[in-house]
Amino acid sequence: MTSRILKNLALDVAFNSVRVPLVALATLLAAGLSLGTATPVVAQSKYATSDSMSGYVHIIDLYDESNNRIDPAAENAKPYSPEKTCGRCHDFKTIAHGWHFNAALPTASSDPGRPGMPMIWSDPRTGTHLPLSYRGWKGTHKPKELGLSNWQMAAKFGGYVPGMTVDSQPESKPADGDAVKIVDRTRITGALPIDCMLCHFRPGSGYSPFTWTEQVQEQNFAYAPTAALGLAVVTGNLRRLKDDVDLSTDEAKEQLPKLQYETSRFRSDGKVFVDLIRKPSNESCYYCHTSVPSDSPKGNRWMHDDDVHLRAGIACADCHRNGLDHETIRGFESEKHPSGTIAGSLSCQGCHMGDAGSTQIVGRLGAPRPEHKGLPPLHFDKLSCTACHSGPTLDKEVGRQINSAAHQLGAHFKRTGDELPAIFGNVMLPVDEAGAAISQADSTGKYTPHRLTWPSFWGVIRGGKVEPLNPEQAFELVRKPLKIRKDFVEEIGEVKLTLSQRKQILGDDKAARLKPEELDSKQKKLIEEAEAAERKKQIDERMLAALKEIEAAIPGSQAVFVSGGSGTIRNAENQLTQLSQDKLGDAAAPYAWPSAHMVRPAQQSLGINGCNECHGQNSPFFYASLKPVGIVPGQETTEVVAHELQHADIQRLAQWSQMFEGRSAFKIASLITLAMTGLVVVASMAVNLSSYWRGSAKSRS
Amino acid sequence: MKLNVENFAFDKLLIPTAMVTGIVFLLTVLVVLSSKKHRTDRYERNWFTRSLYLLFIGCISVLAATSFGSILQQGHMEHYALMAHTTAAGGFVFLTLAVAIFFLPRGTATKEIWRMETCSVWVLIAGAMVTTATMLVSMLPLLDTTGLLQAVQIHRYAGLVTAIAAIFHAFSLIAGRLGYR
Repeated sequence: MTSRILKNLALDVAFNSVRVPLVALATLLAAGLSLGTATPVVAQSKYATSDSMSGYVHIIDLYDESNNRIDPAAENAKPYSPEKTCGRCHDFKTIAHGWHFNAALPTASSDPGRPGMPMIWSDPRTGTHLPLSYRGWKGTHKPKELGLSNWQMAAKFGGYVPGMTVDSQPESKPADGDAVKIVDRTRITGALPIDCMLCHFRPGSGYSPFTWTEQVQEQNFAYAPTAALGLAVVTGNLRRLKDDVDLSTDEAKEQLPKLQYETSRFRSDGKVFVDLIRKPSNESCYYCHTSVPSDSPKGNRWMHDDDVHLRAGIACADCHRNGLDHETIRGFESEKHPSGTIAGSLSCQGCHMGDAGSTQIVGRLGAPRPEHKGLPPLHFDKLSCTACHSGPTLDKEVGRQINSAAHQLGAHFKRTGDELPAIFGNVMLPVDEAGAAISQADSTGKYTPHRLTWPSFWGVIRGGKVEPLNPEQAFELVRKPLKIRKDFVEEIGEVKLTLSQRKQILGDDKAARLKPEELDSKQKKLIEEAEAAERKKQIDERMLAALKEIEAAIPGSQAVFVSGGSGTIRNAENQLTQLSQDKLGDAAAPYAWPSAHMVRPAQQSLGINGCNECHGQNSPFFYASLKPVGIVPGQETTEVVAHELQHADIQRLAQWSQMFEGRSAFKIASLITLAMTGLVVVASMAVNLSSYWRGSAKSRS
Repeated sequence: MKLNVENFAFDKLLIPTAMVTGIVFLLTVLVVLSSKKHRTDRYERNWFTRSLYLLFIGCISVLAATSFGSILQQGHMEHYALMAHTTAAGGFVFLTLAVAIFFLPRGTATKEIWRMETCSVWVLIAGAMVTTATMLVSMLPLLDTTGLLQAVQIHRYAGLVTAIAAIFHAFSLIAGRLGYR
């Protein structure tokens, strides 16, 4: 892709000055035309609209899935259906194909674009933390390839998406996944509905996104919109129903969730006031898109600032906007959006700088044009806007973050901030034109802040490639040898010394029978050492057994457990060993995705304190360190430095850093030298002119 | 996105300029060789002055090779070429002062110096000052991006003028040294 900023700026400095006014005139005309013809890609033609900027007060009838009007007093009243209710006045089918709903659709028209936050399949029972995506982002796995059904994805992640549109095709097994049991309970729960209110609720109106999540986790898909809206109380859940339940039986019907409408919410004419807003509030977005430093649960939340745009009164949906088609603009450079240029004008660069020769509207919502005084323009080739302006300020150690979907933020429980999966951020990585992280060897890449996470999973080596197992299949295979019920990390290292072992360690029977708090420090130390040795032995034995079990179940394969950037296998001598890097490939590599927020004010941007913030020795930009988190207790992981992930030429970086050591002194010395050169030139000219005049006077006389 | 000279047509200017310079230089050499003037009263410079001048020309050669070479090759300068350029630039700044002190003609001596040498040294020093000034100003938080791009443009053209002036000045000195002028 060609330069945008510099092309635009190039117009300012082009030597061919005649072209400048022409181009400017053409741009203005085009921008004017664009303003005048800013029609949405999909027009709302089928339905009546209010078209008032004041919005429409929704006092409406509610309809259930069968398109029957809801009677709150009726016995066995059904939950309301957003599709049947909202779809009476809005083109629901079109909306349902928007970005937030269409991931699972094979025919989705949305461009996958640059990698985004993955759905991380976390299974504490097996220590699995696997980044998944329907979009095919490099480094993620497609659910269907692992034998995960759309229903499983909906049940797992539906609490943090506002619905999911799926095709009606039956679920298919992965190519060689005969052993994989496809779990699809759509027959019992129905498909995950789209809940318009998850995005369009007015904060404070009583709608609870957390209730939505809770109901989805209980597999009460159809009940979730009603419960979240606070219109009814739902008791019971579909989760407890067995996969093969016969729903026509009275027994099964008895087990279905019960719904009790809050009749006071209904007017005498049966209508309900639904307090919704056209433009989603920041709170709506934050429910699924919160990403905060991991120290937030420790009480440090107040120390972190908000996004500068939000503080200025700009809402998420002001930039990440969409038309009726709900193709929400993601806002990165080079985004391919159905609306064309609109998306470009809503990226950082498009809004603040514009794009030469395009019909973009520059300076939307009063976006100021940055001056970047003294910043060599070369930096615009090498850095995205967010590299300097977004995310937490860089530090020597890359911090951990927690986010909505991966750590179930919004749910009310005690967190430490150290919960898995371990997500790190920010790390500067160069990206290609599509926004995917690339090797720095391709010098066209722009450095962009990324979050990243190392995957952990049970897998097998097939065809020279490490492939993750279906998480459910993995659990079935490893649960017995690992002796795990709920939590791999906690349970695999659980050791309890027998009385005879304690007696052997502490010397006598009396000491062996002491409670832990009764032990003196020396005895405690002895016990701890013995437990550590026993733990290591136990973990090794169980891991070996688990790997062996997988190999027995999948003949001709070699089992592997990937965690913390490395892979563990069972060798011919039945010992645990690390899988070599060439065999491991990218399987244990971290998945990284760009992060664009929180945007910091200019005074907090990277480089505000001078070139050395990046170009100095050991600057966090290139030298920040990360330590992958190993899932296996006691697992040693290798520290990674940012430049290793960037594949940067470290020798050249070091030389650059040395050059910047004396830069300030050089500037002063150079200015003095330049001034002295100027004096010498002026003096020489004066002497020459004087000599010339003297010579002329002499010749005249 | 590249700081690409094709926006400014500078790369398109380089090759024609090099060709014209080459032709003019060859013609000059021919004229000088065919009209040899024996001079015995030339001012002889000492080893120190000559060393400084050689270093100055060396710096200009590195600067020209890294900048024009990179621009012709890939449209912009980066990596080791940029490092070599900035390193040579340091020497260039200080040596410009030395060359200005020792080589700018002053007073009656002007009459005795070949006009080509006189003119080229003035252009050389003026070009060097503009080249230096544009980059030094760019290193200070004074200019915005538009200003910086303008400064880069001026820097490029001034650098080109400086390089051409250096060729003719060096030639004029060599010709004088060999007794052709």
